[in-house]
Amino acid sequence: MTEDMQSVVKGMQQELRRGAIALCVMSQLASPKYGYALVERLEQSGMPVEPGTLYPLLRRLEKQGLLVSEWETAGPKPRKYYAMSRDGRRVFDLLRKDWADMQTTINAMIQEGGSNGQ
Amino acid sequence: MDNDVKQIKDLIDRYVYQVGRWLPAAQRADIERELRGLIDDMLAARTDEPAKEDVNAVLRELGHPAELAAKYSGAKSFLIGPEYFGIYLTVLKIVLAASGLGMLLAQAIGFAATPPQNVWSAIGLFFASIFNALVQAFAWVTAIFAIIERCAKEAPYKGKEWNPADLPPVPERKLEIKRSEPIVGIVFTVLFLVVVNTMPQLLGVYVFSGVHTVVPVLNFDVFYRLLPLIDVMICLGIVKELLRLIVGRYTIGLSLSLVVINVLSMVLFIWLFGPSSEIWNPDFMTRLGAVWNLPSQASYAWSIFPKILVGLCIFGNVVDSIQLIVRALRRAEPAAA
Repeated sequence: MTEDMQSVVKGMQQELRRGAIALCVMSQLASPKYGYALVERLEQSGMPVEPGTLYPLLRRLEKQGLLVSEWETAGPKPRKYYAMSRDGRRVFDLLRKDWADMQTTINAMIQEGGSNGQ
Repeated sequence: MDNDVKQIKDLIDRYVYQVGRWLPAAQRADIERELRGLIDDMLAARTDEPAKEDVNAVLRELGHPAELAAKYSGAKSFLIGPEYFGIYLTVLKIVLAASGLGMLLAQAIGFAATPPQNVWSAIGLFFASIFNALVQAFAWVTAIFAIIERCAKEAPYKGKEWNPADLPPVPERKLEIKRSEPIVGIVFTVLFLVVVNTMPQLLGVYVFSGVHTVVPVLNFDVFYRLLPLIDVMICLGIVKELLRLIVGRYTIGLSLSLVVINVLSMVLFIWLFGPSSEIWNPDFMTRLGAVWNLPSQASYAWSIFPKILVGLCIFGNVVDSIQLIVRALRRAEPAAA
């Protein structure tokens, strides 16, 4: 593959991931977690997200009312814990269904497309 | 070892400061505190006793501070968005060309009228004033569009539900405003604006009788006092042409706005230049009479000159307004039919 094509592919992969990341993040926040714990968790689950992307995303989701946050200062290091708000849970359930539907549809489509190509 | 710890702390401080520097003040402290925690956690994940290299690696992983700050701010990180950028460029080009050309011509006329004593300083002044005019034009157009971008957040597309029926009709040829008309209008209005502000002494009668003199039409003391209002009046003219350029066809809204601007500028004109204004040079005829043989009615003609001007201004504005209203009504007809 040429270098140009490689960067096209990279761009498309990022586009594909972009929307899904928010869903993955929310899925992990049924109970409160702080940013770096989430980074590690997502990496272990095979969905690595750079901290430089995750931290601003957490703030955006909080601003949108999907997450709530609280500083936890009792431990050795002060940390900001995030969790889904009530609205966030509702939105997450909705998106989860959307994702499942989309997955079924897209799987059917791309398998069809693949066989047509041959 | 102690030195290393200090260097690490210093590097982290510098990084966090750069990220926080341009963030909104309300979020800054909180983001910085969280970012410090993150860097700490990332270092702890690497090693128990972090060295300088570890900090370097961690900060590199987080990326350039400006990039990270941009992700945090998330707000509009542009001055003029894609919705207005096209029209911004068009207007910018026109205004730049008009003010550059206007200044160039005005300077040329100025030099012709009063030949400069020192050629080099004249050349310097020539380029300096053109540069100045271009910078001003750029700054004003950009500032105005930046304001529009922020004020017109909801309009024209955002927020409301869009209905294809709202699409403006392709203008009939009679109702269409050719782009060249307002552009020419803008060029000449800007030219006039430049002359009035930089060399009002050019507005006069040129007398060549042995010595080369200009008899000014204006009383400069009063003129400079009123100059801001004169500029407002001229700018109203530019606004008029810009509206015509942007809307691109005669609509009821456009016609009404233009009529309102007409009335405003007419009132300003009468107040500034009418019979009761002291802006006219009272010695105009006396000074002309010293050079030329003038008939006795000349000074009477000069005394009623403001009245004639006001009459012409009212006439011109009324004709223009009637035309605008007729066009607006014609536009309304097909909708009523």
